[in-house]
Amino acid sequence: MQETETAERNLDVLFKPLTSTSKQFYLFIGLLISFVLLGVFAWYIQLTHGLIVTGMRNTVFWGVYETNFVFFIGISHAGTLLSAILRVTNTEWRRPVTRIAEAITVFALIFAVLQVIFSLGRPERIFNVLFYGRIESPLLWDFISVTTYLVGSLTFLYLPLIPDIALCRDKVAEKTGFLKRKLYRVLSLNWRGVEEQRRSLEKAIGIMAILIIPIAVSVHTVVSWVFSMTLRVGWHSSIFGPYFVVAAIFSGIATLIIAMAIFRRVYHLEGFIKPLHFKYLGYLLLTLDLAYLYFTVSEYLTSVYGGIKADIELSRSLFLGEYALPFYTMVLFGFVIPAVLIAFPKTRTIPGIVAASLLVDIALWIKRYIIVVPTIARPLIPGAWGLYIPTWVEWSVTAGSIAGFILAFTIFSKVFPVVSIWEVSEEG
Amino acid sequence: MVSRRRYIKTLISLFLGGIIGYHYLYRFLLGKSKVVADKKLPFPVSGDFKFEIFSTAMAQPLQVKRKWKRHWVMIIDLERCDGCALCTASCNIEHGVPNGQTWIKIYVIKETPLRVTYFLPRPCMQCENAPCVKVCPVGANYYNEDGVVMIDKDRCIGCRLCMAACPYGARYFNWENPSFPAERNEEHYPESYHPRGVVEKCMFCVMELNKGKLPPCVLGCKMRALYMGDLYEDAASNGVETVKISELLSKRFSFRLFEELGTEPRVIYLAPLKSKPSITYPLKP
Repeated sequence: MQETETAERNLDVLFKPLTSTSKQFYLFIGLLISFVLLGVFAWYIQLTHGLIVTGMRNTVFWGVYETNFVFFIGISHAGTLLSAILRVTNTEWRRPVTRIAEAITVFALIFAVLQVIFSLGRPERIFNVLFYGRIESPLLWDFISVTTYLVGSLTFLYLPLIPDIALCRDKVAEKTGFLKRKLYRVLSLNWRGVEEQRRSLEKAIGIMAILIIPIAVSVHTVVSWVFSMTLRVGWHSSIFGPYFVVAAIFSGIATLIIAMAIFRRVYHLEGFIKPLHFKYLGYLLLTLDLAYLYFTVSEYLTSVYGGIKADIELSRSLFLGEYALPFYTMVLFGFVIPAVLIAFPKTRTIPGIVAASLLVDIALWIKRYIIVVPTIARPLIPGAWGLYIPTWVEWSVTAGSIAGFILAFTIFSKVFPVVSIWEVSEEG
Repeated sequence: MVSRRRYIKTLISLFLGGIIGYHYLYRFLLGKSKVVADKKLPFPVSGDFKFEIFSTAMAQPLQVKRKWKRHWVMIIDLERCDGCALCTASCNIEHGVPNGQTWIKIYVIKETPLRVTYFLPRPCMQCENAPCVKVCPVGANYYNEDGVVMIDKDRCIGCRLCMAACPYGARYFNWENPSFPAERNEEHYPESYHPRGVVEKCMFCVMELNKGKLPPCVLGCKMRALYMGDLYEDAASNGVETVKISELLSKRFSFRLFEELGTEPRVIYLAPLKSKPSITYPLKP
């Protein structure tokens, strides 16, 4: 008797965001929308004047947009890959966090694709990739794997949502507006929770969880291949595939921890997302910190040890030259501080782990920047180094993208429960 | 249950499929170098394979495999080039090249840290194995019937992956609207068509060449250092004299830029004989 009562109370907490909205929430949404509008305005300026309004020029022809692209693709790995691995290995504590992870993937991927479109000189011709696509081009590999991943991760998000949508339809639909009611009715696919439905759903989730892992790995590998298939110094490296995949999982876990902390606080989910989840994910973050350190050391050591002039020049600019500040910030934020924060029990608290995650995300954005920019700034043919200073347009579009990502996520959390209710109640 | 018969069948078909697949993959990956290797060498060579390929193609009476309609090459005499950049200026004026672009660019080569040894004009190399064509996602880069790398500026999406792939830095992007209307100027199409948001580069003025006219860079060079010619015809001209390519190349040391990258460029440099003393940098302490 006691048990069922607590269960009911818990469910109410999860349904609450769907039915009631506070004043601060509207304020927050307003803030996000204003950032998004700023980004849209900047993009409009860019569309009318051309890419001349960005800081990119003929030597440094890629910049913040490509950095954002790799970054968003990176955090998209949070999700699906992590939740798929946890599902396949049948890890019990995964239950309250998988929904958040899967949603991050979908929204991050959408904004990653947008970055590519921002970067194009002729965005209106994007469909030429469909009409005239050439399979030899690494960008086409990207196109194929990213669209596959998008479809896959949408399915992977939707499948475990069905029972919860049915719950919403049955429990909260009358308290919500017409639109939401209709949405729940359509999306719940007539879910009744009978044994047969349950069995086929479990089967489908099982299959998707296995399918999505190779797709996720391929996506970030292929993203790295866009760079490493060229002959450029610093990019032409066989380590890039695994290097990017590890970076992606690293930043993905960090983003997941941040999102968990925010939802826990704002929607009062302390009963579901517990310190234990932060601790376990923190351990995972530490593991990937070390793995990424290992890759970074082997990448840079290989390039400087031989003493090839071009490699040395590039490394010098990172270690001692004009990119030293971002480089050492990356080392400090991405490797040292997070490792210390998580390694010691005293700081291995929720604030400590969340702080580490924030630093990791910042560090990995910087890391992507110093992967993209220094290499193209130094052409293969002898000549001067290019200079790149991003303009307000690029920063505004970036700010708008990040705000848009958060906005999409926030709206998602107001329509669907962010914790998988049926899976949590099955926890045993 | 899988029957034994079916199991064996599957195994055999997988094995055969593997062999066929491997064969085609092998052909696809190594097809190009095979063609070159079976050429007869006029003299015994040992060691550097890279040098073998190059020397056979050049020293023999040009038995180049007829893959294209014509085989345009540019020969640049670095001994004559004095770095005045008239070629760049002529090209820019003739084609209305957008701001900040130099389709033929002069590099100052310092072979030691102290001395400027020579100048190196860099047009597009029109590689036979062009990295830019390989990476283009929409096929906007393509070889025309003469094997010259062209850009379809009405198809290019402006992703700039080709600029990342080009080792010679020969590609440029139209960052802004053209200073004069971007209509097709049929007379100089496609060189003088500069729509915003696409990638551009030197195209050897191949349309002009096929009409029997030399490109503006060749005509503009006051040192007559640039030759344009057809490898099949074994003749090249710098606007004043016409030379036999095989003879010119047998008299002088020649090289192609970044030969080691395997791009097979169509621009051949005649090595400079001495450094340019007039522009030696003062010794720094």
